[in-house]
Amino acid sequence: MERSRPLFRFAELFSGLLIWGAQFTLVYMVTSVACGRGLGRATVASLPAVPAAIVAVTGLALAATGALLGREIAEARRGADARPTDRFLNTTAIALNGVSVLAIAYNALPALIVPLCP
Amino acid sequence: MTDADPPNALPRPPDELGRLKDVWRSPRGWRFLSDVSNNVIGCLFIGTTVLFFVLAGILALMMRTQLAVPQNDLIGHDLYNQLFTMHGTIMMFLFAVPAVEAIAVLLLPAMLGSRELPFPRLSAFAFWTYAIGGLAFFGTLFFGVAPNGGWFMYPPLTGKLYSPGDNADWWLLGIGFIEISAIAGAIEIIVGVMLMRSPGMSLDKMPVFAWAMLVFAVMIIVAFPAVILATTLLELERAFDWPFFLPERGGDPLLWQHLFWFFGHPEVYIIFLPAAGMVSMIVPTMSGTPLVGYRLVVLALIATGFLSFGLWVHHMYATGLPKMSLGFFSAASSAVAIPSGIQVFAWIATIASGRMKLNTPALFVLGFLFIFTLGGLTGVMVAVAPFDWVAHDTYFVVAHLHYVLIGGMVFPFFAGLYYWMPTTSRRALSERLGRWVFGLMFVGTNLAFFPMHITGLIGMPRRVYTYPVGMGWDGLNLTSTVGAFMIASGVLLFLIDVARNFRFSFDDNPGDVWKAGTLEWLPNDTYGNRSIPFVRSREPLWDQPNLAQEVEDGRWFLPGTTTGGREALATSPIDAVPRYIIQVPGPGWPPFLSAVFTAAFFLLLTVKALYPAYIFGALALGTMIWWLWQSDPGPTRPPADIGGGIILPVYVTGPTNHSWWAMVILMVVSGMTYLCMIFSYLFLWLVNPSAWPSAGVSLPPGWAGIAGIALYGLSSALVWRADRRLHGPEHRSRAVPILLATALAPLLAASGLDLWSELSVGLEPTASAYGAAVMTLVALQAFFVALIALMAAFTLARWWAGTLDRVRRSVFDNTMLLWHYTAAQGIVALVVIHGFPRLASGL
Repeated sequence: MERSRPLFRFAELFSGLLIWGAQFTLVYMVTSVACGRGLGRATVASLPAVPAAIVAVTGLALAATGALLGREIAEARRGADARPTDRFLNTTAIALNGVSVLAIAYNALPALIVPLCP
Repeated sequence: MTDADPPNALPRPPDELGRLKDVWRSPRGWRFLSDVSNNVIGCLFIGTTVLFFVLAGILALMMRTQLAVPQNDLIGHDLYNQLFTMHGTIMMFLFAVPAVEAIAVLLLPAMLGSRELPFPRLSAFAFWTYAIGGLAFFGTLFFGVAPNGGWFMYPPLTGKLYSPGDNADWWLLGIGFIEISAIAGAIEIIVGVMLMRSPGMSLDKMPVFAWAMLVFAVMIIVAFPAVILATTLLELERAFDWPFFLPERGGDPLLWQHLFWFFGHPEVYIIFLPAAGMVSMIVPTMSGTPLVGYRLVVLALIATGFLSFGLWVHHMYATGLPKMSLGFFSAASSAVAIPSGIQVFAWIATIASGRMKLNTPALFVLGFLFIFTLGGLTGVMVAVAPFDWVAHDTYFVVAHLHYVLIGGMVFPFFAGLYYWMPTTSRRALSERLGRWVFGLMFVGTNLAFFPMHITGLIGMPRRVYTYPVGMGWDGLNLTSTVGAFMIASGVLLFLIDVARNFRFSFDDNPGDVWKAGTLEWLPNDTYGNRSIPFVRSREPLWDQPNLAQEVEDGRWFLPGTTTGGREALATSPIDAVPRYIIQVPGPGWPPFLSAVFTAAFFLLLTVKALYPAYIFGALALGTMIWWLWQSDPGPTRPPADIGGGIILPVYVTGPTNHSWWAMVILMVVSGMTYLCMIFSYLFLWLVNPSAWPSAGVSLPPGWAGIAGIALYGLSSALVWRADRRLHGPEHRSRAVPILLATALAPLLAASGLDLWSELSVGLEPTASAYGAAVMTLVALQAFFVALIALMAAFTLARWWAGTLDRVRRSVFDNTMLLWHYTAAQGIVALVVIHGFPRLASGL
């Protein structure tokens, strides 16, 4: 029998990628607004504000995705006798969260190596 | 449910099969226009997409002939501009996306073991709007009014100043409304894949093509609203002088590029993923072994679908955006190569682990692997911003995109045609001719497009209608032209093959000629499979040896008709447990007529024939109401036995119901459209912060915003109350229509107040980008409110006609869902319009 609400199960499956999408949108918005409003050289506690904001957003996104990944891994360990469909969804969620962690981290790299505004 | 034996005993009742055939019989003669069966519509759809492929190919040949030699005067620059615009537009909008949707309409039900897709009339409507609109669009070439601004239609070139004629309007209105067809198809596909799989076909047993189409359809509902909004904004600028893209009044042409490419880059994957899905079906069959890395391939499809939304700016590297922003998109552009690579390695591993039969579909798959991989490699090159600055707008990009699109879509499409033709034709296509077709197309593609890498790197810009002698481009261009004609001769040979061998038939075809393992190779007829099997693996025909015979004998589920009409089985989204019997609508005129009238409305609007356009618009609305009046049949009979003692209802409501899912998806489409408009508003603020609001305009009073929010909330609460009363103990509570009619008043008042408050402070949409953006937010909301008013009137009419009550309530549920959405959207709009400028004034 279908055990959990399907939309909720799908949300679990895609949550890592949705977090990647949110992080991507946020860092892009912060950069665009900062450059558009001439705030590219702004500092916070003597740190460059925009890269710091990007690192902070990325840290939060990584923490959230990491937590989801950990939860799915724990479920995989608990559910050795789970039904094939649940195992499939569980391993797919683990893989998608793993890809999301890589994508989030990769996405933030330009903040460390590329100049901010043209 | 477990892997039990077939539930039905033999012999079956003598009239069972006859009744099934009767209810699924297609209309004959000219009445075929009213047919809605996925088999017929799917074949017509595929045939029409091939027609557009050929037409766009002819335009390409004309261009290549012009470029074969330097300083050629065969074609002038104006016609050349129309040719490359129409070639790109038709290939992308009228061939690639519809072609994969068409294959889904034809094959998905059979692949999923379903009799039909959930909304066959919607499929028919989508097809006819596409076919009529597309042919009219192509016809503009013969009158010299075809669009000529390039397939991505960048303003200011396509603005009124530089494109004063109707050419651009044909693109904006023509393509804009054809996108409605794509969205309709996407809704059909999502609901079909989620709710109409064979019992037992849980997500882990779903064919990869179904996964690919699911991701494809989700991408369409997220990406296409951006281009629909973009075309609306540009048409508003052209028709009413609302300056979204005019810098002198605060607009910005880059807004178009953002909106277009937010659609346009995912579009590449929207085209590629279904093609990859087809390859994942063909490779295991030809190799005689299951797909290696099924889970990884599913992972790759989903990850590609998501990541592709982070790439759009890589078409805008040369526009002067902040370097760090380019870095984000460059990173995402490189990252997306990883899931694409996973699929390529999975196919190679599958080929390596089996013994591949090198027949025509397999050859096309191998050709795809070679060409697409090369296109992917140059894709990684242009993902690197400094390289892109060098190659931008040169023939290198033309080479790259053709390697990706021909390799990634055309070759798999042809592989699919050769592979699946035996499911719909009395004869398979010719293997001997097929090899020639492949050879000509493969060599031709490489001959045509590989030299373009070099022509681009040595400086030839794209879209020039001729070039001078002595640039070093002559020989390379001539080679490309020879290659293009080789591709064309391959396609011509294919058409000859089709003319000789394709004979439409479902009940008399060669069957499983490739010894494939998936359900579309079960014996079929106009009704699909005689009975609906329980599926135990991803390749049921390999693992359940007697399945074909059992299905054909009617030993599995729903071997006849329980309601006396067309039916399909609805199952649960994850585990595919049978839930209810869907009463599927049969042939009818409303889809065809409403498609004709809708097309006429848009086409007449384009040529500024306003009054005839309004008449056809009203006719389209009328036929749609006629169509919808026939929907929501209610529980026409008590729950029925589908076999094995499984008793299922013939009608359900709420989140289990397929139309509920469709409405939720439509709300996502609406939400994406509005989100894109809010993005446009914020973008225009960013380029124009000191004019927010613009000079001579003040912000509307805050009380108007608060009152509007309260009115939307009240309206939503009244509808919620009507819903509770409908759920109450009375079969038909009289409070329901009263509450529904009452709820309309605050909704209309909120929208009216919003409009009045903006006009009262002197807002003029033509005066500034601020005015245009705010007025569009208000107008879009007003459109939704008007739609709700119409739906409320329809719902009340159903109530008074006695076709809406406590049980038969899908119409009410759908109206209620969109009503709540509209109220929420109105509140968001008010927060943005009233709150953001006040907040931004502090920035």
